[in-house]
Amino acid sequence: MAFDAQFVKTLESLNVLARRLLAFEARSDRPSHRRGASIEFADYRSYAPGDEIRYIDWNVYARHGSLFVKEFTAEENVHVAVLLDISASMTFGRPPKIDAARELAAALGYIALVNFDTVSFYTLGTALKAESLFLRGKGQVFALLGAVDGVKPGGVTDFRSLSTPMQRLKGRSVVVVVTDFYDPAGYAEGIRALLAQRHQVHLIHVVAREELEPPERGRWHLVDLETAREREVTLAPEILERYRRRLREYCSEIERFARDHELYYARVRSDEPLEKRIRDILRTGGILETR
Amino acid sequence: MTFGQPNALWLLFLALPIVAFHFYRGRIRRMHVPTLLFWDQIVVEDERASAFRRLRHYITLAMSLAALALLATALADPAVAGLTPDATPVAIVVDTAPELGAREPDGRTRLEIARERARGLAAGLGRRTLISLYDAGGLVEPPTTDRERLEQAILRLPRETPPRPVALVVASARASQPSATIVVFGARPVGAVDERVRVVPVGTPRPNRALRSPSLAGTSVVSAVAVNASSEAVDATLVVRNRGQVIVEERLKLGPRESQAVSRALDVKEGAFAELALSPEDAYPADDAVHFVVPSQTPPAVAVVSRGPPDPHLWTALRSLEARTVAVAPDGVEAARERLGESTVWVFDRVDPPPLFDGGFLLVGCGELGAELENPRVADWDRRHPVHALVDYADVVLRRARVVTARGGSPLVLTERGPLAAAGRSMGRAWVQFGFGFGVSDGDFALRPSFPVLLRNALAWLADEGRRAFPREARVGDVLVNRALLPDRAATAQVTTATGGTSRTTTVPVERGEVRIALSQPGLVKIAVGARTEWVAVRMAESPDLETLPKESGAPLPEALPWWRDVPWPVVAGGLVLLILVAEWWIYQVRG
Repeated sequence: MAFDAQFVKTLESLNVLARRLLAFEARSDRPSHRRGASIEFADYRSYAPGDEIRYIDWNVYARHGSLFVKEFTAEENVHVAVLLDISASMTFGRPPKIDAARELAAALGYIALVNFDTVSFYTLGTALKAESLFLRGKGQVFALLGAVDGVKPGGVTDFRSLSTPMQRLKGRSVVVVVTDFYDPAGYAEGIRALLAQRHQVHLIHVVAREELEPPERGRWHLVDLETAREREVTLAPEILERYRRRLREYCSEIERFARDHELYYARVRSDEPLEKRIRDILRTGGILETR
Repeated sequence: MTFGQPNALWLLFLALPIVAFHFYRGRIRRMHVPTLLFWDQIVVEDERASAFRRLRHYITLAMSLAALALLATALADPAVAGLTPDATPVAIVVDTAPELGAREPDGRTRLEIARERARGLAAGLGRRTLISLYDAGGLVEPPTTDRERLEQAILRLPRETPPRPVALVVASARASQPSATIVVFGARPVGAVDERVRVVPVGTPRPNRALRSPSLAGTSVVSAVAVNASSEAVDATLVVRNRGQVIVEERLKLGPRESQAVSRALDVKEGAFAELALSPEDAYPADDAVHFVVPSQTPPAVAVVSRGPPDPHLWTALRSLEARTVAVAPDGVEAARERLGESTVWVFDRVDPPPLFDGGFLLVGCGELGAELENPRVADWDRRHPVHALVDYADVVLRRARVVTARGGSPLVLTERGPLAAAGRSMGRAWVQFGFGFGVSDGDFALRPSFPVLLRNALAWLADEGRRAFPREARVGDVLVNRALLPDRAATAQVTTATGGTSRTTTVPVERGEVRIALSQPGLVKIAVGARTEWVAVRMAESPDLETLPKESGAPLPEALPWWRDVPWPVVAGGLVLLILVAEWWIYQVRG
């Protein structure tokens, strides 16, 4: 997959989208606990006794006769680590999940870079590997894209490798894990390990349409992409229904795990447009609150 | 097992692509999946069903092949000994002779019973069996498998065809269907037949008494013979009717097999329409009565056409007969016809009749004549002709005469050189022609005692026969056709049949001047066409023997099939194929 100029333009528009969504969120009545003293105006809110008078906007008062204070964004040093699952199971689907995951990783990394966050890019397979560390500024976009584009999927997934400590900077650390969550040993231990390292974890679950809608009935030799293990199965309607039910349960289990651990979770389909995927992530993944 | 359409079995070769397709469909395909985690759990749960699923593939293949075999055999029209109904053709003969008209004690006629049994037999035979229908007249319905059509043909019996001996009908059926089983439902002897002919007697021996041999003695005495054809004595009443009115009733006692002559004189001045009947009705009432149409004895009006005065001997003889006699000039014939009416007899005395003259007429020395004869001698004459009743030509002297051509007629008086007189019908109208005049210059016939007798006979014959479009007598089974043109261009004829004290009227169409009346029962038949009315006495051809029935013989009747054996194999096969399709659907859709 090559991230071409068209893709970069797409990322630009996604960034605008992200900022628009960010502005929308900021205008809500939900008080933000991330306001700070910076030069960047964020929003208005009603005056409450105890607010500093210097932040009252007198022009608004002159127009509306009500007191409003300005709020400004907090300036923080945020390190965003994007973890991309490159196990063999990610090659499943048309288009392959790995392509969709790469796009997501590139997009999220780009948004972070252009918003002056520090971005690191890791791959998750049999081990956790740092591909690019501490990229900062828009000038590092192509370095990021090159790193994302250069990964080769294969092998199994081992979430336990997440217990390997990741390099970090001072300040907040956000870890975005883009994966399909297929690890025979389970994902829970690995995610908990990330939480133990005091990272803020975001989970992006990538599924393919073919996983949600299995193939037609008949007799099949199923081959596990990661382990190459085979199994003969006769797909009948009730078998297919059981599979779908089992998949739904698995997805619900992951959601429940995220909820229980106060993690942000978004599930996207690899066959959907990138913009929709990003929109779903930005709306439900809670990434907005990092701004 | 044999097959009617063995080529259909080539369809069985379709089994090859079916098997190939099955194995192609059942092949195991390979698919990569991201993980076998879920499948491991699901397949563990379903271990029990895998054996069935493996077997299911072969079960459905077997079902597909079975469906193909059923389809191929359905189209191949199989016949399995012991299972497929026998399709030997059957010829059903329903005897519609008069004997079948006898009424049985239960009130049904034998013909009704025969029809019912024929219908029952046809309904019980397999649907592939070809069945033909015959009646006493011959073939009614050629071999057919159409049961509805056959049933209708049976219900329409009897036809208006004269009955033939049963043996002839059976022979005719055998000739056209050598392998058929012939079943005869009848009451007449069948004669010697082969073992594949089944004779089923219909009815029970019934006593019968009848009136036979009707005759008219002279001109006014009707007579017949009352016959008791049974082996028991019978009491009956002889009822004599004229013009529908009872004029006398008298008791008759007839011993077993006894015959008795009966006769009665009638007033026939104006003619008579008489019936002699035995009462009460027996099992076969059709032969209990005889009928007579007696022409009027009143001399008709006579018109004599001649140039100048008619021959005096002729004129005198006519006047002596008390006939209303009128002299007419040749150019006044048409006007006189209008005036005198249709019943007038015309005498053309040495004057040719107008062309296409359609009245009853006597030609005296005129008409189409041949060679002239000098002193001809009468060699013979037709003594049986009504014109010659009590007429004697012996020693008649004729000086000159001409041979008559007798075109369309029959000679009445013969000489060595040809007929001198003839009688016949022209366009249905009667005529008598003499090749000599009645004047003394032609001979001495006019001076003979036979001369007025001849004239009276001729007038009476011409007045009755001359005017009739239909014969005076006919027999049951005949088809009456008018032998003279009908007047008035009538479109229909009203036909009234009277027998006993009852009558029945039907309407018969007149097509191109011709009317055809089928005579199906005895009685006095009045035919009214336009302004013309004629009566016909219809009699039974013979009186049937109701006591003698044929013996039941021959091969057993084909047995009636239970309904399930007569279901066409393609229907059964189609039903089974449908069941197979449903079962296959169930196996895959429901069982999974």
